[in-house]
Amino acid sequence: MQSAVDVKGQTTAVEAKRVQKRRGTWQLHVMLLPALIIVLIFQYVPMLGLVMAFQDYEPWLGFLHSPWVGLEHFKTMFEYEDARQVIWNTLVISTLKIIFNLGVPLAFALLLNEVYVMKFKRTVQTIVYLPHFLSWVILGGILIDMLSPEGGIVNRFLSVFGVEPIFFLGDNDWFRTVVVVTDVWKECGFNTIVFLAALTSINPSLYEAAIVDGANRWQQTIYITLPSMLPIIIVVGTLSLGNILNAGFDQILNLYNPLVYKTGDIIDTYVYRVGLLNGDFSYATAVGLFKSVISFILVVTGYRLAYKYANYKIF
Amino acid sequence: MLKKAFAALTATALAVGMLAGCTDSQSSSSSGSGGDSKEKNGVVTITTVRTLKDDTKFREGEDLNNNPITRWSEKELGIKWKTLWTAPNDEQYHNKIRLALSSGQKLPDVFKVSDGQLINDLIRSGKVMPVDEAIEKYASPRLKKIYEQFPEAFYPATVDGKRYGIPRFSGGNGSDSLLWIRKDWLDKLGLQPPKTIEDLEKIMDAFVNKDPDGNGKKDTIGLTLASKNGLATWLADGSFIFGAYGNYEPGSWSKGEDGKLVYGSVQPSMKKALAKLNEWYQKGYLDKEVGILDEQTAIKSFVAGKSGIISAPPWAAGWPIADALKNNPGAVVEPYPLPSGPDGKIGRRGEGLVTGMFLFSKDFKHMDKFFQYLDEAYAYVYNDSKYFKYGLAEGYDYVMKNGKPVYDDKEIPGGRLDPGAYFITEAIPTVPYMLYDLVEELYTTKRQPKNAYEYTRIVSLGESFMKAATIVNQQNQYRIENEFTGPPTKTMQKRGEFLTKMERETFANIIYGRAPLSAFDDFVKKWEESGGEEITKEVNEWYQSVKGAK
Repeated sequence: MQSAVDVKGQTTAVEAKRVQKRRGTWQLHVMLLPALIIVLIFQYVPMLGLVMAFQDYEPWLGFLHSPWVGLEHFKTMFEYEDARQVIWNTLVISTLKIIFNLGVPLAFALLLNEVYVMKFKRTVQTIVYLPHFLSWVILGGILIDMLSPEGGIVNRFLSVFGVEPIFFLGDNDWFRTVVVVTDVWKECGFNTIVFLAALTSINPSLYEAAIVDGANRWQQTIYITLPSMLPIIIVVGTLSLGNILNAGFDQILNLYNPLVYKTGDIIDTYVYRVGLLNGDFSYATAVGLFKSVISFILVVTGYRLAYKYANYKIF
Repeated sequence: MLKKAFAALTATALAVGMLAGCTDSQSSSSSGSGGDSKEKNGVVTITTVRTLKDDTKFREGEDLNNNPITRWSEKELGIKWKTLWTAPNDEQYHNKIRLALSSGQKLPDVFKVSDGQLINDLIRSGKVMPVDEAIEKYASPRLKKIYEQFPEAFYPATVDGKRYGIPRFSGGNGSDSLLWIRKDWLDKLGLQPPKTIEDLEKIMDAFVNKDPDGNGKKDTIGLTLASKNGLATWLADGSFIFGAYGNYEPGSWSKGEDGKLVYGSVQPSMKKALAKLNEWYQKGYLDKEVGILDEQTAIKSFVAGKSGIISAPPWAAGWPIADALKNNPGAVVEPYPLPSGPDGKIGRRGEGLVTGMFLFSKDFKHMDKFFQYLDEAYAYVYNDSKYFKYGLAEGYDYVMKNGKPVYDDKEIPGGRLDPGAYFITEAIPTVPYMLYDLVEELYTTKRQPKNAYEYTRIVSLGESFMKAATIVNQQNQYRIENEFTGPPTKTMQKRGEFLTKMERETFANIIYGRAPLSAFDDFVKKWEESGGEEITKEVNEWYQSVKGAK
């Protein structure tokens, strides 16, 4: 554009200023370069490794000389029932997680918003957020103890009501419930904070008008709070769509066991076992790539939806 | 215009240069100076890399390239070891090697690999050297004898009839298990130690129903088992149950009746053992959570004093048995031989012979020096070293007091350190079965330790360990070793994950009574059909190919 300006020789004052501004900043852009190159090298170049998914990869032959097999690995994935099973498990677990990670924090934020003692509110908020910082390795150990059918605290509590001890982590009927509940318990603090922040941004005059019209607190919640929060709920919800194939590797790896493979094995744990423990790099990459493509589509869809319904732009 | 473009170019070059600078300096410190072994004043420099776990301690100011062992090696043997890099665990270590391999970097002169797949990849890449000739030419008679005694130790690094690696031996039977039983419970209930599985059942029944801990509650179990990672394992091991019914262990390949390798988990004898385990589970002999317990979590019941029996290696005397004693005042835990099954059979999971293979860069020129070093290290184990009479290094694993060596921790300034960890073998080298042979000798003859090795590795570990190791050593004929030590076969890579998963699931369900015992037959059938047959064929092809090799 600058050369165009030179040719025409009609440099207006405004354009001159703009040019000057650009002259003043190009060095800054160059300084961005190392960061861009790092991203390129460490984020984009490794993606070339995805060609493995279409090869029979042998490490000593490398990407260049390993034989090509086309879509063979993807075919394998849908041929065997074990792969279908893990895809299904992943979908079920993550869908449940998305729903509950939206609903629970929302309800919690609304309740917390009604609390007028600031100190209490802040304390609860912090306590709820705390588990977010614990790793699943630690929580896994704690949960195995807590959920133990022999003297675990949960079963001891249940026995007060005459419930027979339940083997939560070894029972296919219970495992998904445990996974979803513990995940919500660990992660709901974050969304609660997001929702609480959204709550504070609602215009107070709306409530004042509603009170004048004689609305009670429940009606205020239904007709003012929820509609005002809808955009942020949609944003949080759609953004989590991209995670629908991430059912939580750390969590499952630390909690699952042979007894609950049927309901608890997910794509990531499957890829881990196939790729790292069995050394079938190509097949593991194919499954991983399949997952990434689906996730990518969902992220884009989620982004579009967020833009359409909540007018929320990330980029 | 031109000026601007030039300025932009310089800036870009600068930025790229900055980045390149980082990588440059790194590569010069790792691969740049590595590789070629140089000879200077008769001292040969050999490069290596290794895993350095955080329990390897050094004296102030020392490291892997400067410690009593490297100083000894440089001064006495003329070998200067240069460790190019280290990784904190085997997984990261293998990843770094794998990376060096696929990115075409120069390999270090000597390095140890324990991952079968990676060993195979390295050999296939043509970047490591065959060692048959070097062994012939340079290995000392002592080393040759060991190698002839354990030809199968070379199998992991044998390809097309050629050997490419030198084994880093394990203790042989060092992590084989025996029974540890609460002797105080036995005495209290007036029971004798078990000779057979039947005896064991009676004991477990009493441990569960007769309140051995005297707290008035039925809260004790008979046997601590770990099953999450397979039932034949290194701690809280269930392999003796399978061994009591046949010569096969789950998850391992051993010789069938026709001399071919067969997969243990699908043999008929498994069914009998699984039926027993199911019966024991129903009767409350086992932990209710046995299905989800791995080795580390399983031992909790024993440590807490809620379980009466655990099958574990002799070194368990230090951990976790010692913890159990500390937690339960008055507890007495004694080691006992494994019980026999209905046909008098005894069997246990045998630890593998090697914990890794030393591989050599194809450009490495000093195999003679490597073998000289290895032989001198072995000389210490055989107690005939001219360099290490009382120990490896004075002030590290022993001190001299009034002309006599003292090994006691408190006598050594700064505490006792094990210089054995500085050897490239990452510990004082071992010969399979030799350590426990030595333990048995020391335990039965009650003689005094001759050097720091005998003291630190045996006597200082206590009476209980020595007794247990002696028992394990006396039951050596019952070892069932996994004889497939090659890289995963083609079909294993493809279907192995599915098959293992199905096996674990089926076994767990049978033990819990969620599936009938006949589910085992279905499993065997499905295993054969889903690749098991193919895998068996491939495993035997591998076995034939390595057995034929020298």
